[in-house]
Amino acid sequence: VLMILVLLCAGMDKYHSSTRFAPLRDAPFALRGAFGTSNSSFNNMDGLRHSSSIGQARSYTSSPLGALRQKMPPSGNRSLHTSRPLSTPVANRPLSPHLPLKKPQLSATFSISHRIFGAALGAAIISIPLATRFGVMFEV
Amino acid sequence: MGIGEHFEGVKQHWARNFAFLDYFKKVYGRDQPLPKWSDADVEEFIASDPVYGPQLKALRESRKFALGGALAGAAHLGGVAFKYSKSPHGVVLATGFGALTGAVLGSEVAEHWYELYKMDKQGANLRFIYWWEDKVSGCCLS
Repeated sequence: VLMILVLLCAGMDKYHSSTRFAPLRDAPFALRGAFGTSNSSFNNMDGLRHSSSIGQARSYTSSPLGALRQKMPPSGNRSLHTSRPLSTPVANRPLSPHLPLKKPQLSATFSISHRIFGAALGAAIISIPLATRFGVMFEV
Repeated sequence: MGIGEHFEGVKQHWARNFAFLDYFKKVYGRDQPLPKWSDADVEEFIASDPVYGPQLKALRESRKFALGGALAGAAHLGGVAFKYSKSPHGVVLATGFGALTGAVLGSEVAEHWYELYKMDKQGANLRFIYWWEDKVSGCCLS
């Protein structure tokens, strides 16, 4: 009786884990056509996940990005980014406008100005000990 | 009150930290600017002064460590960014920050290689400025 209970629990665990991650697996699949060329790394990871778990490796090539024909990296289950480095050419297609269209709101303006100010302040603060350290060396 | 002494100590601390600005005053804040010295003049001072000459020489040698470290850091971090990232501005920023970090690391290596912590670095620079002032005033009667 104990063995049967253990087996049932193991089976239930596997069922729970597959249902827990099923919506997460479907979401990138559903959104595959919504992103433009700028999000190819996302699509590549999506392809990786599909090929490793479900085996629908060709689903992302049927989207409008199919013309790009991205290769999947031959080794490993995860890569930091897409396998295409900076040196290979990118398709010269225009992006759909986002910045000229969206009305500048207080929240977005505040956020980016906060980031810019923080970066400038960080650079200013770190320049003081840097100047102290290197000013002595490069003085004479 | 103890708080007054504390603030005096704080002011002295920052005066010491920013004391390197006085050297700019000695060079740039003059009525008539000092004539610019060349490497040959610095070598002459290094040969003449037995105490501060070797210190200044060690300081100048440490520049190579800092520059070498900057190149190594820039190449390494820029290379990593170039290999794994698609953003060109990211590569530029990574190279710049790698140069900065590498320069600090190189100067730290030089600090221990030449035992620069034993010497008064600002004092060695100041000695050269004084020597240069005397030399220039003596020869050109300015």
